[in-house]
Order: sequence, then C-alpha cells, then structure tokens
Amino acid sequence: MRLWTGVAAFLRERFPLEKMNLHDMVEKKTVPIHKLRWAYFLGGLTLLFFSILAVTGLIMLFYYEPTVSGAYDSVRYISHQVPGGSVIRNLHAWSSSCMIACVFLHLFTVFFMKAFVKPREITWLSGVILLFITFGFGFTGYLLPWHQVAVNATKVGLQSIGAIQDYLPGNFKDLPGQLIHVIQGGDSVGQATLSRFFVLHVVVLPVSILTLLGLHLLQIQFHGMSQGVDRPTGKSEAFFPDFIVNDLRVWAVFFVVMFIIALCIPFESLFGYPLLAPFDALGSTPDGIKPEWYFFFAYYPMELVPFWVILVATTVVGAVLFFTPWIFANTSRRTLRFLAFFAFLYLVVVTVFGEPITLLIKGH
Amino acid sequence: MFDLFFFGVLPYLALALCLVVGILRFTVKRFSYSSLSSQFLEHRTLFWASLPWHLGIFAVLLGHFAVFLFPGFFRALLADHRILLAFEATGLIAAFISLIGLALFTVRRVFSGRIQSVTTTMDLAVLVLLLLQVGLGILTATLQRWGSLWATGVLAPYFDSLFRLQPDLALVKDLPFIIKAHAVLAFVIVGLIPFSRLIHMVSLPFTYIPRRLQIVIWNFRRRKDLVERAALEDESRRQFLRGATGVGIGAVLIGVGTLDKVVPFFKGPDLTKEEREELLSLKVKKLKATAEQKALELERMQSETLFVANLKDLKRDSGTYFIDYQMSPGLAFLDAAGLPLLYSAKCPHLGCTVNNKAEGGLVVCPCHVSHFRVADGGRVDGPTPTGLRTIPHLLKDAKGALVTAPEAARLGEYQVFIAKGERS
Ligand code: HEM
Ligand code: HEM
Ligand code: FES
Repeated sequence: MRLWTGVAAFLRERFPLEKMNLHDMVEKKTVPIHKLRWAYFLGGLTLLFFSILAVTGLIMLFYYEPTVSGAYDSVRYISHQVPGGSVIRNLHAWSSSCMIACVFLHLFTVFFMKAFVKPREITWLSGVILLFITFGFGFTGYLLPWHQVAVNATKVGLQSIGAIQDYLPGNFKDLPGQLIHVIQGGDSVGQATLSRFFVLHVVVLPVSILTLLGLHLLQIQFHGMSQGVDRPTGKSEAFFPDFIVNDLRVWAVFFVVMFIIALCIPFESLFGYPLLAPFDALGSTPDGIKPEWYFFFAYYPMELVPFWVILVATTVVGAVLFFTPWIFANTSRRTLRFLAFFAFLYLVVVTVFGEPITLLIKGH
Repeated sequence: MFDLFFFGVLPYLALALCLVVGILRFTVKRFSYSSLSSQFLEHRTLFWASLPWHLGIFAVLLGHFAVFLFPGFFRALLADHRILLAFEATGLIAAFISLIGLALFTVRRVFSGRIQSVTTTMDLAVLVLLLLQVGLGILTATLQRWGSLWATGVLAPYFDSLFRLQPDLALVKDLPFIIKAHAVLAFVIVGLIPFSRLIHMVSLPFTYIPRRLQIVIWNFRRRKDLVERAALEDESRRQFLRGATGVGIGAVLIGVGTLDKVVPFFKGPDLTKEEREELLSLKVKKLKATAEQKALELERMQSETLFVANLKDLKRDSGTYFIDYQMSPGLAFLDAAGLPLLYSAKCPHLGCTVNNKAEGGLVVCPCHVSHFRVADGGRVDGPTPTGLRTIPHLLKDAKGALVTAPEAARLGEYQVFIAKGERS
C-alpha cells in the first residue's frame, strides 16, 4: 500500500496537471542565459533533423519499393531519374547522421548540466528511450537500399547478437539464435527481413518516437528549463517569443547548410562502388563492410576484446543510462563534466580512429 | 468598328483628357490636387485599407510598366520558367493584396455614416471601376496565364504603335474578351484621373511607401501627446512592414523554388524510350533472379540430393560457390587427390560470405579478416571462433549412379552432389 501511494506521489510531482495551461507552460516559461546556453538549442536541433527526416522519408515512400527485387532499383530510380530525388535522398541520409550526432551532444550536455535531477527524471528516461529509437531508425533504414553494405552490415549486426549464447546456461543457449530468427523472419537476411525493417522504419518507429517525443516535450514544458550551471547569472529570456525566435534562427542556418550539403555531396560518395552494388546472395562479401559510423563505438571494441567484456560493459552503460537521475543525484556538476568529458573522448576516439587502432592492435 | 473606337480612339481621348484637364486643374485650382482626407473621420479601417491597396497596386503597376517598357529584356528574362513563375506569383499576390484594400475602402465608404457625408458620386464610381479593373486583371492572370510573357509580344508592340500614332489594331483584334475589357477599362480610368481623387497620384513622390504616414489630427493643444504616440506607433509599424515585405518576397521565392522541385518530383521523370526499356529490362532481370532463387529454395525442399558442380570444373586455388540446403552459400574446392572439398562459406564469426580466392592455401573472410585453410577448413587467425564447417559430398557418374569408390581415370566424368540433412 505504501508503495502505491509512493508511486502516485511520484507521478503527481512529475505531472503537475494544474500547470496544464498556456500561462504556466508557455507564457511564464523562461530560458536561462549563461555561457552554456548554446546547449539549450541541441534538443530543438535534433527535432529539426527529425522533421527533415520525416518529411523527406515520406516523400521517398512515393517511389520506394520494399522488395528484394525492387528495392535497389527503386532507390536508384529516386536518386538518378526522379527530378529532385537525389536532393531528397541526400537530405534523408545526411540528416540521419546529423540527428544522431545531435542526440549524442544533447545527451552529454543535459548530463553535465545536471538537467536530469528531480523533477526531471521522466524527461531523462524518455530521452534514453528516444535515443534507442533513434538508433533503431538508423539500423533499420540502413538496410532499405539493399546494396552490399546494407545487407552485409545488417547480417553482421544481427549475428553479433548470437555471440551471447556462449555465456548463457544450457537451456537458454538457443535463445539468441531464435531472437535473430524472429528479427530476420527466416534463416538469413531476405525478403522477410526487408519487409520487417521497412515496417519498423516507416510505421512502428515513427509512431513510437512521436509518442515519446510528446512525453519528453510535455515534461519539459511542465518543469521549465533547468538552471544548467552552479552559479546562475540570474539573467534569462522569455521562452516565447525570444527563445523560440532564436531557435528558429538556429534552425534556419542549419537547414540551409544541410540543404547545400545535400545538393552538393552525395552521401554515397563516402563508399567505394563495390559496396554499393546490388546485394548478391551468391557472391563473396566485398571488403570493407562496416556499420554506420554511429555504431563504431560498439563495433570496433567487439573486434578487439573478448565478448564477455562487451557484454558487461553494455549492461553497465545501459543500466547507468537508465538510472542516471538516481545514481548521480548528488554528484556535483564538476564531476559530471569530468565523466562526460571522458565518455565523449572515448566516443570520438573510437569513432574517428577505430579502424587504425584495430589494425594496429591486430597487427595487420 | 468597336475595335477602332476602343483601341484606336479611346486611348488618345483618355490621354488627352487626362493631360488637358489635369494641367488645367493644376493651374487653376492647385490645392485640389489631393485625395481629400477623411482620416479624422475614421482612421482604423483607413489604415488597413490604404496600406494593402497602395502597396499592392504599386507593385502591380510597376510590373505592367516594366514589361511594356522593356519587352525584349523581359522576354529573355521570363524564358526561364522559374523566373516566370516567381514574377507571375508576385504579381498575383500583389493583386490580391490590393483587392483586399479596395474591398475595405468600399466597405468603409458604404457603411460608415460619417464617411458617407463626404463621399461623392465620383468617389464611388472610381471605387467600382477599380474593383472591376483589379478583378479583370486577376481573371486575366489566371485564365490567360503567363501574361507577363505573351504581353511582350502582343501588347507591348500595340502600345508602341499607339505612341507612334499609327495604332496597329491587328495586334489586339483577336485578344480574348477579358483582356480587351481590362485594357479598355484602363483607358477609361486614365481618362477619369483628373476628375477624381485619383489625381493625387501625380503628386506622389516615390518615397511614398517608406515615408512616414501623414497624420491628420484635430488641432487642439491636448491632442499633442496623441501626435507623439501616433508617430511612435507609426514608426514601429513601418519597421514591421519593411520586415514583412522582405519576408514576403523571400517566401514567394522559396515557395516557387520548392514547388519547382516538388511538383516534378511527384510527376516523375520524363524518360526516353531507351531509358524506359533499360529500366524495364533491368526489372525483368531482377524478377527472374528472384524467381530462380525461389526455385532453388523449392528444389531444396523437394529433392534428396543437390547438384553442386561437375568435378572437372572445380579448381584448387579458386572455389566455386553453391547454395546449400539452408540457402546459405557454400564453397567447393579440389583437393590434392583431385576429389572435391566442400565447405560452408558462411563465416562462423558473424556470417559474412568467405572469399573464394585461395592464396597460399588460405581463404579469407573480408569482414573482420579471419583466415581459413583450404585443406581442411581450419581456423588460422582472426576473430572467428572455429574453422569452416565441411559439408560431405556425393559423387555420381554420368549415368547418375552413386560412386562409392572413385576411379582416378574417370574423375573427369563425375558430378558432385550434396545430400539433404547435411546442414551447414
Ligand atoms: C530524438 C531525440 C531527442 C529529442 C528530439 C529531444 C528534444 C528535446 C528538446 C527540444 C528539449 C528542450 C530544449 C533543450 O534543452 O535542448 C529537450 C530537453 C531535454 N532532453 Fe531531450 N531530446 C531527445 C533525446 C534526449 C536524450 C537521449 C536525453 C538523455 C538521455 C534527453 C534528455 C533531456 C533532458 C534531461 C532535457 C531537459 C533539459 C533542461 O531542462 O535543461 N533528451 N529535449
Ligand atoms: C517518418 C520517418 C521516416 C520515413 C517515412 C523514412 C523512410 C525511409 C525510406 C523510404 C528509406 C529508403 C530510401 C533510401 O534508402 O534512401 C529510408 C532510408 C534511410 N533512413 Fe529513413 N525514414 C524516416 C525517418 C528516419 C530517421 C529518423 C532516421 C535516422 C535517425 C532514418 C535513417 C535512414 C537511413 C540511415 C536510411 C538509409 C539511407 C541511404 O543509405 O540511402 N530515417 N528512410
Ligand atoms: S564475419 Fe567473418 S571474420 Fe567476422
């Protein structure tokens, strides 16, 4: 009984419904001004990139064909024949990378600004789930063009789940294999996988992300912006219209830059041709199969250290992410900055230098 | 006959009236050169009517004069369909804005009691004519589209002929009715200028638009603060207007640019016959390949043994790919004795397909660089936990009979099979 009244009290504090009106949620809200104020734009920027993705993705759906025989050609058709198609597709591909980068930065900044403490636990938790959904978008979208990297990287990604079986007790040994089978919808990556990933990418994940985004933003409007620094300057600007106008300015700049990039640099120029050839089930896998850069932080370590280390590390990081609001409730911002710095350093080093480091250590 | 009057006589009549009466009025009754202000009777509607009307009609007239004065330049400029679209869209939007202003003017003149008392019949007539004219203009723009372009070839030469005093009626003879009506009404309005409040347009300096609005207020001492406040309000309003104009122009450009991309996107490409043939043949090829794949799958469900290759086609340094019972790739090599060596080509690490070229007796999985021996499939190095799984083979002779003891001399005629149940 005590437990349930506790839960109710917790929720009452996180969802102050009496504040559910324009005055409390919009008119009264202010955004602090201090030297970290740029961090307040990162969440909005993520939202911008998501909007670009949703619009361009929807537009591509008019031509994209989620079949093994048609996917590759339909994507080619979009980017080479349909007027304006290449811009749309490039916008989608570039924005997906930008969205992931923004989520990372957003996560780090809200972490070291200590924006997750009471009463913002739910903001943080919904954020963590948003992070996983975003990764889900990246993983499922990557398969859709059905070229060599797409299919093979997906195979490798899925197979790595299978490596867990060595650490499971007897009865559960089959579990990872069955899980892979369910995800693939068959013995190997094929039409069933494409259909599943397609539905996940364009229906299930968009609906989930919109729902959680609603919760995330509702929480943010309920609780207002966190102070973010130890010694607030006392200065602030009104959320509406000042912060919104600034937000729009940032959006405008990034949109223009994004558009120019999409116009000038095909996303595909980052790969060599054999990787972009249509997937060939009978041939050998071409050299250089890699997941998207935003999975490097898990991919390179997997080649270097024993799998159980990865397993333990993932579990710990996952748990820490979920319980951050409670674990770090009493940690100072200085310490948080320190931790965030090292985590960020790890991400940057592994993402940028993962390949040479791996080659160096393996001695090839 | 009608054409002769409307397009050969009326223009001169209108111009003559406009000039003669205008000059007379200027010399005789100088201070009547204004639209008698009704601002102190009513000013709120006046502002919201006057502003859009003047902004809109100024832009529209500017467009008309520009095209009629420099037809050659505009013909070249508007040949680009994006510029044409932007130009026409701007014109149309301006026309609608001026129409809104006019409508408000009309409402004000008709329904406000105080204004009624200073409204002359001529005021009302001018309003009606202008409403008609703007309406006809909008109809012309929408029904006879791309007027800015065709006008350079039809109306511009006609005006030219007017000014050379040899009106060329052939040019206007076949114009659609609305355009004729629009032109005739224009002449009428020009003729009416000196008789109505429209005369104020000749006193219009070009700084009219950004200029501070003239504020007419009862001349009392206690109204002084009111003047100041009005001036301030007016200032911020003008800032807002300038910003809004900029944003408006930008929005038109972006809108046209976006539509220019988006509409063709949904329309799809205009492909040549060759391109369509190429696409279709590619499609057929892909569908056939998919059908073959499905046939293989079916075959694997139904048959007890699967053909891999003719023994004589296998090599020692280059494997032949085949598809095993799990629809996974397999690799077939030849061993030292000339007998087949079959492996699953699915890398035990994370399932990439192993390369079929053997170098120094080793094959490599390209994904994370694991090496395997060709001789027995064993692991040499790399992240793979085990070697490649071997798949037992069957040999059949030319008649399809199972070969249990292969004879070295007849190896060339044997065929290699795998049997169901040999998982990879
Ligand atoms: C799809 C991904 C996400 C979107 C679109 C998003 C959007 C936003 C927006 C618009 C804000 C308010 C403005 C700002 O502080 O930037 C915000 C705040 C916040 N976000 Fe996110 N977010 C996402 C992911 C995450 C993640 C992964 C986390 C952390 C695990 C997170 C935690 C927070 C927190 C704690 C705040 C409150 C900041 C404060 O009050 O100062 N969000 N988010
Ligand atoms: C409502 C939202 C979305 C829809 C309807 C959608 C739709 C699509 C479609 C039809 C494709 C296939 C065309 C192609 O490969 O270029 C695709 C590809 C892709 N999508 Fe999305 N998408 C959405 C959101 C997202 C988001 C949020 C992300 C990432 C965070 C994302 C990442 C990707 C990636 C990485 C590809 C592969 C791009 C390539 O290599 O060409 N998508 N998406
Ligand atoms: S999949 Fe073959 S080495 Fe990793």
